Amino acid sequence: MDDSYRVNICGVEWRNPVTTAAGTFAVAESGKYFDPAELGAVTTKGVSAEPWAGNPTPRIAETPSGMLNAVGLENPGVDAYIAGDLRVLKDRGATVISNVAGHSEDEYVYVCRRLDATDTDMLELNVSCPNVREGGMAFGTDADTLARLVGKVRAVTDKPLIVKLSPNVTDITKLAAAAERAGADALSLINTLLGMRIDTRTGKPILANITGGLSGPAIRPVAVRMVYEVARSVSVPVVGMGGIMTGEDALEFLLAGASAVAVGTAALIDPAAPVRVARELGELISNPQVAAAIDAARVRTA
Amino acid sequence: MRERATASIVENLEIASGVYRLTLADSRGSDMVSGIVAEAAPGQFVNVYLNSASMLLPRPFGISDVVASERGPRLVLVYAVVGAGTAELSTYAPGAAIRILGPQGNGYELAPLGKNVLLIGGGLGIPPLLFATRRIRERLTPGDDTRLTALLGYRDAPYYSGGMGLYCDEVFSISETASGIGEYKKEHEHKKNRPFCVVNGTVMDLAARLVSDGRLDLTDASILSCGPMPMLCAVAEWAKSKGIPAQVSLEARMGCGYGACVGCTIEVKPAEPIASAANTKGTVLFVSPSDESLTEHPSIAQRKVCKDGPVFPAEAIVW
Repeated sequence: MDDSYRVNICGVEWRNPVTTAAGTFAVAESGKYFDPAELGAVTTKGVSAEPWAGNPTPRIAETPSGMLNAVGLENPGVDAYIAGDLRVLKDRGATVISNVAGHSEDEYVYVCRRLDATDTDMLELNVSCPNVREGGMAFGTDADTLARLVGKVRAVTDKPLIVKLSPNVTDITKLAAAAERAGADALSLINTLLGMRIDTRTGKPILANITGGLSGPAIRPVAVRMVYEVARSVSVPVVGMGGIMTGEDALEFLLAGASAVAVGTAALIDPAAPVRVARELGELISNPQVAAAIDAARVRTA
Repeated sequence: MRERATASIVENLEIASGVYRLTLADSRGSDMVSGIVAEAAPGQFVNVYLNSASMLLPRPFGISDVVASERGPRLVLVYAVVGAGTAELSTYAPGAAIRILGPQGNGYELAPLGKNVLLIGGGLGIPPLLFATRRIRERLTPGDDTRLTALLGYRDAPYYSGGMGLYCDEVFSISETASGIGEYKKEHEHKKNRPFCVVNGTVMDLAARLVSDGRLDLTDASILSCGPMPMLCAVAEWAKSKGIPAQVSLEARMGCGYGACVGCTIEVKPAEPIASAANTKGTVLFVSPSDESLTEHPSIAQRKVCKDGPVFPAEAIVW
């Protein structure tokens, strides 16, 4: 794969500006369709201190140009993650962003402390999952709560720290500013938008969790707008995501001021989508006018 | 590394009310169908993607048959129109291209199955059982006295029971509605050995009746089953009560259909080693049961239907 469009995100070299969105990449399963080392980075599924069983099924519902999910961060716990997926990914030469989930400040701090002692390249704090009752989005929708959590995590790790923001707020720039002030090295956005579907034949919600997170192309304009707002209001790099299906979609985020992008839902529809998007984006950036436009967007937002 | 690719529609035919048979061939520049025909095991499924940009998720359909015809390999899928996606699929005409990915998941363990193999199917679960039945029949050596018996349950008019008759020693059908059975009997009137068919009940009612009539030999038996979850649950219970090992192919609302989204998990019994079909590690594996990233965790006994199934031993599932 073409390495001519490397980016540096908080001191970490990415071979291209594309990563996976947390929760849409699984080592064994996605690894059948592409080599994780071909991406700028892979972002792994949210990991907590203890194993979480996640939500009851159905966890997935299709929506117009999108989908709702309420998986609820099912994961095997940080110890199993470190011994399993993280080791495999590092052995394969991938740049790894470990996504961290928690029910409490103490849990986030514990998981980050454990991961600080590993060779994960970066940490991403999931303070924006709409599908867990305690923790998740509760930490990402109040500026003071978010700042306190980011500060506590910052104190236990020197790893580059990305804070993933929720779009389910009135003014995302306030949360972005709080995270930056508390020590975030980068921001990623957006997580899913809280949504719901009802089966008109039964009158009941389709998801067992009643509500879920909306993702896919349906949310892309919202994501581009929020990336645009945040990139102008902070000085740390922004990883943009939300419904990116093609290289051109990814370019839209870079032109909005993002330094890199993440591919999520597209990978659930086309398993090889992340590397395809990276390839398509590379072809677009090889046009000097496009490259100049991206540089101009970064200067404007810096 | 097989990527999602296009296939060409050869036939998209309504074979019963709202039930369609979709036959696919390789399209120019893609050997996806050839690959599936060569590799597929009964019980595996195929992700079918719609051409509409607003309906993103794959529709997972069990493989009903793979055929090496004179004009090239053919993949046969049977689906019912249950929502907007399958309604759109039913409008696709022969010659149109669609994207597919497969074969997905793990199929049935086809040996050893004992002397009496019961194929218990319900509705759309029946066509995938045809593929399994054909494979079992083809592998029997001359003189093998293994008996294949199909018990098929329908909501309305039967379909695919004639096909099952080609490979089974006996086929018993049951329909929940009298109207369905009327059509069925009319269709088979001219045949010498009219298939046995009763009305007003489920496939488990049929099984109970056949046992009480002494028409079902359960010695050294095993069960392969596919159908809606309530039926599979009843099959599992019945199999357990009779001491018969059963493999069930589960249905689930899936997201990605390849194991990444963790949308279709099913609870499994943590105490028992789970040696499922093609995945015979004998331990409860969490999330990634590949050699490379074994992440075992006994406290969460959940498996992905799309990746670790859809076929599981019935006794492994928490019903």
